[in-house]
Amino acid sequence: MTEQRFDDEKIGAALDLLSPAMAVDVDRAFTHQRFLQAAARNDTRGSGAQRSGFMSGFRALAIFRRPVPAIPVAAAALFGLSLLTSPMQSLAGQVLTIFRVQDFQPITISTSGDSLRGVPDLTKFGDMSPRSPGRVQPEAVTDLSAAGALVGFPVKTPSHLPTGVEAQPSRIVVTAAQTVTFTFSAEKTRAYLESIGQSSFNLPTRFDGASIQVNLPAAVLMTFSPSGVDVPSSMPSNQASKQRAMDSLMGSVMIGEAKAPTVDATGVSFAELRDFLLSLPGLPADTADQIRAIGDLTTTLPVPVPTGTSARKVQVNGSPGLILAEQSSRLAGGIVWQSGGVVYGAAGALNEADLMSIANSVR
Amino acid sequence: MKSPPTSATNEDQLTFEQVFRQHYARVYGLLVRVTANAEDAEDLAQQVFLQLFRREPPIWQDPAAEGWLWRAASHAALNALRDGRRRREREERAFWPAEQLRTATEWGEDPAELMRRHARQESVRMALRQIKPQESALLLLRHAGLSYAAVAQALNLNPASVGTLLRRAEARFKEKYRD
Repeated sequence: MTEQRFDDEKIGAALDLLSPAMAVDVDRAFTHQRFLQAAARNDTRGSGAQRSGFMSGFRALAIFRRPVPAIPVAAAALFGLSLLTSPMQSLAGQVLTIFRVQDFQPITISTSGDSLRGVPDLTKFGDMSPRSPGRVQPEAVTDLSAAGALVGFPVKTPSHLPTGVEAQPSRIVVTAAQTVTFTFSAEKTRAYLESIGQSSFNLPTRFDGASIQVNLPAAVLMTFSPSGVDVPSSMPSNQASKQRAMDSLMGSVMIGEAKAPTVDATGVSFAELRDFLLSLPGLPADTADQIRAIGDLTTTLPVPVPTGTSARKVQVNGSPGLILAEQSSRLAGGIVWQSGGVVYGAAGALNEADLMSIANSVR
Repeated sequence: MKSPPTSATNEDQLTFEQVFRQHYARVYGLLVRVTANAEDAEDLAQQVFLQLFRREPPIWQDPAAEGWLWRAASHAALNALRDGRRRREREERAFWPAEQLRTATEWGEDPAELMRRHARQESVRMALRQIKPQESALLLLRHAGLSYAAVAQALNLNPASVGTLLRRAEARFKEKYRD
């Protein structure tokens, strides 16, 4: 400070005490500003809600502050609900593919899936191998062709992205394929049922030794970011860097692609498996009813949708899909669809119309 | 002057980015002094720039944008000062030191030194809260390096009266401030 600003220097010194403790991170602030501008544009394009313009944008960020963006949620859904509803038409002793995604059906789960906590997990009725599936670390790859070689199909990218977002992904990661096998055990089931004093429910005799196999093919996840935004290739452990990393995802669009997961089974029929799973103690009646209402469970993937999120069936380039949106902001959402045996997903702090245009441009 | 932008293209973003980078730290600096909270200050500062960006007709490429920016920032600061009188008593004592301590621990600072700094800051803020919001704003804008003319524009005052008002604000502040 060169010029004399106050008659008494004591005042300047006192006000100096209020200087921010940390240097202002203008880069991060500008990324944030760009996101707010995009959110504000989306808001005025939609109907009404102008008054709450940027505030709803702020709320939409909450989704990205959580470490679980929409794509992993969809992947978890693929995994979890494949097990819960795996349909089949198999012959004893012969492995048949009993499930392949062709369509999606939202299943409303109250209070973010908490109501499913009462459902005993499948490991109470048998053995899961590997023991803790889903802990596959994503590996960064350098380009799309490397990713294509790993996932086994040509990776597609969107030709339409929000203004300011670069056409080339800033980050590409691939998760390895996994197979999870679950084998029913009469003994384990009996021990569990005894431990909870449950007598009205039992494992049908035929289930002992029967198994189901969930095949989760390799998946690619691409992040498309606003120009000049650095997305770290892995999540830093330091809290401040982590916040920065999450912020860098705010204006970004994520696209995930994987061959459709399949479920194989041996020893039990589709009807038996479905009836067994739907009779699990603790499964809320309305959830069971929604699953029962699905026409063809051999091709339709039930996707759990927490309350507060809206889900709507849509067509993406003529293929069936499901669009999910956070209802309060209408700005954060995801979309999943399948085409030619590949399941695609897109997510970002975007409204439905933008998500649809992005999805339709993935070719 | 360039024709007014109708939507933000990459080219426009760059220019707006320059405006943003040039002024953000000072606007944020003003607002963090009145809110005593980094997140609140950032939210307010971001809104000021968002309003600037969205203003119709566009003015952010105009040299007058700086005057507008400080006016909007002062408006936000005055609102925060008025709100703060009510809100701060409830929240700050619990929240601000806790947040600071958490940050400090991450950055390896000495918590005792931090508490001393907090106490000193608290007495400055206490004094700023006890004088009129406009007087606080005058002092803070002047402290941020604005000229008499710019201060007058930001607070919608007669430029000729800024000197007098500022001296009165200084006197009132010294009355209340115990360092």
